[in-house]
Amino acid sequence: MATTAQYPAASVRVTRAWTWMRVRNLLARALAYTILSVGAFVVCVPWIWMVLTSLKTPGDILRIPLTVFPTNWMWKNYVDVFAVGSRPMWKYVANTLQIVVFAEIGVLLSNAIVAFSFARLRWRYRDVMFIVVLATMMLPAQVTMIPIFALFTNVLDWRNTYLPLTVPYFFGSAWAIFLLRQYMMTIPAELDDAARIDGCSTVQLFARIIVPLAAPVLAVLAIFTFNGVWNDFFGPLLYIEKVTMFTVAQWLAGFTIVTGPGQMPRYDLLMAASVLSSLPMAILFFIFQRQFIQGVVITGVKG
Amino acid sequence: MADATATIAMAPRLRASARKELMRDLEGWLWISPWLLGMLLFIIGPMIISFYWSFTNYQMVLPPKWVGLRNYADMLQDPLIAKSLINTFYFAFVSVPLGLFLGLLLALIVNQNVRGISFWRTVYYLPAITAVVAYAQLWRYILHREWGALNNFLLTFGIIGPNWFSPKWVIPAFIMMSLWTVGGSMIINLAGLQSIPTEMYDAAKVDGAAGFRLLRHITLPMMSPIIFYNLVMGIIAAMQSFTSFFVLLSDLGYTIQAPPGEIGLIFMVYLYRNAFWEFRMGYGSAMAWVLFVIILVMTLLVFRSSSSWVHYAGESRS
Repeated sequence: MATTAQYPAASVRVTRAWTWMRVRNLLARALAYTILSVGAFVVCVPWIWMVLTSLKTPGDILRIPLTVFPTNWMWKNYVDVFAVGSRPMWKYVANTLQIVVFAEIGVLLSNAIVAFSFARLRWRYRDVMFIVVLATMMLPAQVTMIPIFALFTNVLDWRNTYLPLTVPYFFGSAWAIFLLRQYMMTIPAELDDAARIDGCSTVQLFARIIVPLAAPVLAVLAIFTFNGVWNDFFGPLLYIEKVTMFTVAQWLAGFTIVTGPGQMPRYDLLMAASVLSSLPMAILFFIFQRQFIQGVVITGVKG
Repeated sequence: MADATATIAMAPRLRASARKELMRDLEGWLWISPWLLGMLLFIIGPMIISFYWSFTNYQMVLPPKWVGLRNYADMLQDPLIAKSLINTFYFAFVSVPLGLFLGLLLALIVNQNVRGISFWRTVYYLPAITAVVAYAQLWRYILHREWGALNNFLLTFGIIGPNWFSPKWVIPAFIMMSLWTVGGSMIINLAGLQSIPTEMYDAAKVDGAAGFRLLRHITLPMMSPIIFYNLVMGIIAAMQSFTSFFVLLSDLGYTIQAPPGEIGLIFMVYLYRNAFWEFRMGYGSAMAWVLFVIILVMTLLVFRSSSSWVHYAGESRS
C-alpha cells in the first residue's frame, strides 16, 4: 500500500524537475540568441555604414548631425567609381587580376609539386626536410624583406614591373606545402601502387591521380592566394610607383577626390570603392564557404 | 659453395637496388627543388645578408660600410624606437587576449546547439573578409573627429567623442578596430569545440557534473592547445601589423605614399620609414633583427609557460 502511494508523488516531482529544466534550457537558449544577435549587429554595423555611405550624396557626408540614411540614394556612385574619371577602378582591377593569374599559376604548381614529394614519394631525409619546411614557417618575413627588396630593385631592376609580386610565388611557401601535404596524405596509398603496376610514371601519378584527387584542397589554396594578392598592400607599395600600374589596394589607399581644398575626401565615392573591392572576397566566401572555413581551420589549428 | 654462388648472384641485384634507391632519392629531391631553391633565394640568403647589413651603414647608393654595433647602439638612443615599441606592445598585448576571449565566448555560445550555425559563422566572419585597405578606409571615416559615425553616435548620448587620432586615443582605437575581425578566431575555436568527443561530456554528466564544471574541467582543458596556438600566432601577427596603421594614419594621396608621422607609430611602420623611405637599409636591417628576437623570445616564453596550462589529449600528466 505504502509503495503504491509513493508512485504519483514521485512522478509529479520528476515532471516538475523536468519542466524546470526545460524552462531553464529555454532561458539559456533565449540568452544565447540575444547575445549572438546583439553581437552580430555590432559586428555588422561598420559594414552597413560602409554600404549606406556609399549611396549618399556629398552633402549628406558633411551634414551635422549625421543622418543614417542617404537623402538621395546615389546608385550612380558605383558607376562613377568603377568606370568614370581619370582613374576608374576597372583599370586597377585589371592590373590586380594580372598579378592574381600569375600568382595562382605559381602557387598551385610549385606547392602541389613539393607537397606531392613530401606526401607520396619515399626518399631519404624526407621527414627531416619536412621539419625544415615547418621551421621556415616560424621565420618572420621582416628579416628577409630588405635584401629581397635590394635584389629585386637594385640587382634585377624589376621596379615598376609585376615580377617582384609574382615570381616568389613560383617557389612554394611553407604553409601551403603543409596544407597540401596533410591533405595528400589522406589519399589511400593503394592508389599509387595500382597506378605503378599499370605502368604510371611518377609524373603521370602526380598529374592524373593525385592532382585531381587533391582538387578540393587546391581550391582552398587558390582562394587564399587570391585573398592574399588582392589584399597585399606592402608588396605593391615597395615595388610599384607608377600610378597607372597600381593595384586595387594601392589605388584605394591613395583615394584622394576631395570635396574642396583642405576638406573631406569624397567619402561617398571612397566607400563605394571599398564596397566594390570587398565584393570579390565576399562572393568567393559565399560560394566556397565550406572550403574556406576548412582552410581557416586546418591552417589555423594545425599551423 | 652454395653460399658463394648465392652472394655472387645477389651482388648485382644489390647494386641494382642501391641504384634504384639512389634514383628514388634523387627523384624526391628533384620534386622539392622549387622550394629548396626558394628557401635559398628568399629565406637563407636574405637572412644572412640582412644580418650582415645590420652591422653596416648601407644606403643602396654606395656599398655597405662596416660600422660594428653602431646601428644597435643608435636604436637605444632613438626615441622613436622606444615609442614605436611601446605602441606595438600596447596594441598586441591588449588586442590579442581580448580578441581571443571574445572569439572563444562567441564560439561557446554558437556551440550550444544554436540553430543556423553557418548563418552566425558567416555574419561574424564578414568583417574578417573585408579587403584590408577598404577596412582601414572605412574606419578612418568612422573615426573622423567631426564627421565620423562614432563621435556622432556618442553625441546622441551627450558624450563629446575624443580625437581618435590623438596620441592618447589612437592605440585604443586600433584595438577596438581589431576586435571587429574576431570572426576568424571564432571559426577556429568553433571547429575545436566540435572536435571534443561528446562521450567526455556524457561521462562527466553521469558523474553528476554540469554547466560551469563541464566548461572548467572538459571544454577549457580540451581547447587549451587551440587557445595556446592562437595566442602565439596572434601575438606574432599583431607585432607585425602594418597595413591598417599605414593606411589609417598616412595622408591620402596617389603619388606621395609618405609613411605616417609619430602619432600611433608602430614598429613595422617605423621600419618601413627607415628602410624604404629614407633608404637606411643598415638601420632597417638592425630593426628587423631586433623585432625578430623580440618575437622569438616571446614565442619561447609562451611555449615555456604552456606546459603548465596546455593540455594535449593522450599526454599523461606526471
